[in-house]
Amino acid sequence: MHHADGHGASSQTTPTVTSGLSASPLDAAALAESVRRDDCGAVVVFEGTVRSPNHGHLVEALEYEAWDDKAPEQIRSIVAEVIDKHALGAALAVHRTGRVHVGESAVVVVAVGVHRGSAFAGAEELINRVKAEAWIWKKEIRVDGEVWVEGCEQ
Amino acid sequence: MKVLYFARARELAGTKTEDTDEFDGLTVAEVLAELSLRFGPEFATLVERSTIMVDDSIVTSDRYDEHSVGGELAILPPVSGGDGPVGDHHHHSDHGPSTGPLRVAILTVSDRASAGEYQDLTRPALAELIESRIDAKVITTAVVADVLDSIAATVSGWCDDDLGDNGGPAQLVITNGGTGLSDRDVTPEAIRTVLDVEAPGLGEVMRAAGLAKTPLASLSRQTAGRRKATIVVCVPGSVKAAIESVEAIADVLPHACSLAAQVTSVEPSTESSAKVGS
Repeated sequence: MHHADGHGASSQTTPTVTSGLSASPLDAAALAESVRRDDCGAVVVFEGTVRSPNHGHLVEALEYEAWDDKAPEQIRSIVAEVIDKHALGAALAVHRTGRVHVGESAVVVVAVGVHRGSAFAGAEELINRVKAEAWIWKKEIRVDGEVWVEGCEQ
Repeated sequence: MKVLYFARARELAGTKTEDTDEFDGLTVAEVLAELSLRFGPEFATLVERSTIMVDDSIVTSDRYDEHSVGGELAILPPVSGGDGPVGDHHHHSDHGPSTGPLRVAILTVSDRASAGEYQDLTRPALAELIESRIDAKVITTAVVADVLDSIAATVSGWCDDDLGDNGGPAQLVITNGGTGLSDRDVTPEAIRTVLDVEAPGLGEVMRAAGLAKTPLASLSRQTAGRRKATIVVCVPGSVKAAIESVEAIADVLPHACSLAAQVTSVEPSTESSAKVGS
């Protein structure tokens, strides 16, 4: 039997990280490590990093504001739904709050699947849903001013 | 009742939360109207784009009238990754030529980029900047090596001839690269061979903007001028320095271009009022 069941027994103990918000820098490798499992052959990690320039404006940092009472729970239910939908072995999504400088990660999602197809699809859906649905706002701190960014250019 | 404000709404309201009993018994529509009066037109338009939640459920705008507020009303502007209206508002009015967007051509001057050895990121960044800062459209771009004749030929061609879309020559040419001090840096020299007049002030303003960041900006040789009806601007090759340079002069570029358009009658496009002297 080389087709392990994605929901099956795992050597995994309790996850060391929970999905949600983080006010401190994200370590994508550590996040991936915390959810990988031996019965899954695919780990897809997506890091959304702060970019400059954006639309021709030099960006110094992004300032993320979240609805602290709601966003973590929202992200966790998105993760649970995506795990279920794509039969993932595990998944994780953590979004930064506060000031995130150019080059740093603003969001990390990890999808762990038996095979790469589900892991890629799961990771993509995770990041798309977290960005579109979670109550998180960003302000672009530019060299020439500040602007709240609404809507996405993917 | 408690009102929760987030992001820009929080900034405009000047507070994150507000406990008040003055809205008791009012509908969502009435509360939002009251808050919009209090916090002004920007708040009012932001509210139209926002999601309203009352006691943890979303109230759609068609139900603002029937729904009276309960314990908590949250005003949630569009999130950054959502599919709401795109947020990068163009708040710079342009007083440029009234004949549509400024026609822009961008030339990357780089041995390495012209040899295909690396991807020039400055040109797309400049294109985005110029199109978002002023009413402009990038019509064409090119890459040439750091060779004086190639630079001069490309730039003068863009100033003199139609850009290939039957819209006439460029009104603004931006070059990036070749403004340093090495013997391969020949862009300013090349440009001077094709300019009718130089506009040293533009170079000074661009360097001054750079100097605010680093003393090394004094070694940069940004230059600008006019050929026929076209403004030509030369900025450095790095994304950062190029963007800073164009940012520094963006507000005067439309005016510079409209002055250039009046100077010569090479393109007798302005058949209306402009009666040029002598």
